[in-house]
Amino acid sequence: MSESTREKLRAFVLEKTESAIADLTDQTHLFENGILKSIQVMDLILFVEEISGQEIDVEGLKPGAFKNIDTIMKNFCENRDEK
Amino acid sequence: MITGVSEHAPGLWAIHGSLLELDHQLDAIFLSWARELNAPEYRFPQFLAVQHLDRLQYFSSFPHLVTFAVSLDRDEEELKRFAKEHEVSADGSLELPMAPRVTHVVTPAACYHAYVEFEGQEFNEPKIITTRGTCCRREDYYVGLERQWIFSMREIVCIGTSEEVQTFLAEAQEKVDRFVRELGLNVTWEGATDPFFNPKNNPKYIFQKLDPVKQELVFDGRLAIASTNDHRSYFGDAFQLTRDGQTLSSGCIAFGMERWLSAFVHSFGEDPESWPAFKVSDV
Repeated sequence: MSESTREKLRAFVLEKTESAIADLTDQTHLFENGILKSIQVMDLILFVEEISGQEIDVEGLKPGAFKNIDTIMKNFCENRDEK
Repeated sequence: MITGVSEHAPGLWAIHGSLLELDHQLDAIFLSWARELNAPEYRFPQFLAVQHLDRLQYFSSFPHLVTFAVSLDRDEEELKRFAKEHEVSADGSLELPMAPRVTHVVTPAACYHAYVEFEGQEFNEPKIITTRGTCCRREDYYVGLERQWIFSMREIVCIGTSEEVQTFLAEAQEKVDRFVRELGLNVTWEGATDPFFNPKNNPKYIFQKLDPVKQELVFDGRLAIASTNDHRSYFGDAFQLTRDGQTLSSGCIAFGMERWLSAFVHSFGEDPESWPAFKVSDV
């Protein structure tokens, strides 16, 4: 069975982080907790565009849209694997 | 033109008389808040090294704002030639005899110097300081007191944990709120982003949209006279500001001095007699 979008997202975060993560959950705040650095937000957006197949309108971004894996799934990937 | 303000060249204004006195009085208020926060005052140089600004990706984020400090190479023959042959053109420009390498920028924001000052230091408690700087930002157009090439900025800066910085910013914002209420200024706090160059391709701009870190105190719905900025660990990372091995956050509250003068004039008129009286002890 192929990797789900959510699993791809988790794998991306774990690959990119420079922090020692004991327990990354889908609710862990990716930037506030320093899991990802602000400079990596562009990489994250490009990756989400790739796995969701949708272009993201940067000007239309709302606060918290990339807060954690749950919000990313809800905002950008809902119609991929999950509702 | 407002009494007490004179234009010397596009972007460059002088202030004198009652307006300058008002500037000093307002600054005394901001300084008193710094004292309440046990923040010592620093005076920093007018220039910043390009190597320090480059660590902040300043030249990719704000190339449109930067003003470089340029000096001639110390070559005796070239200096003699320049002293003799230099010529200011009709358009007001002066051609330099060579293209000197640039090492410094005229300060674009007062607080940057604080991170340079404390580079590599470890802080066991919040470090709060204040400074006032003459700042330089190139703009597309200029308006006296409101959008100047050279302007004055008073800042109070905090280096600490994320919680400590947020507590500092909330406390500072409270002081400002109490003061503007007493003055009767028509202002509101609004979320804002920094004026990035080519913002859509700048991760820092995108990050500011996703995680608002800047609030501006906007006068009459059009003019930001102060701002609070939560830098997260941005400067802590760039200048190795730490506690127990962990990178610290930083934040600042900044006051655009000339813009406060403009807010006063637009609210209460040009006659100082009509300005609301305030003293440090009243606040």
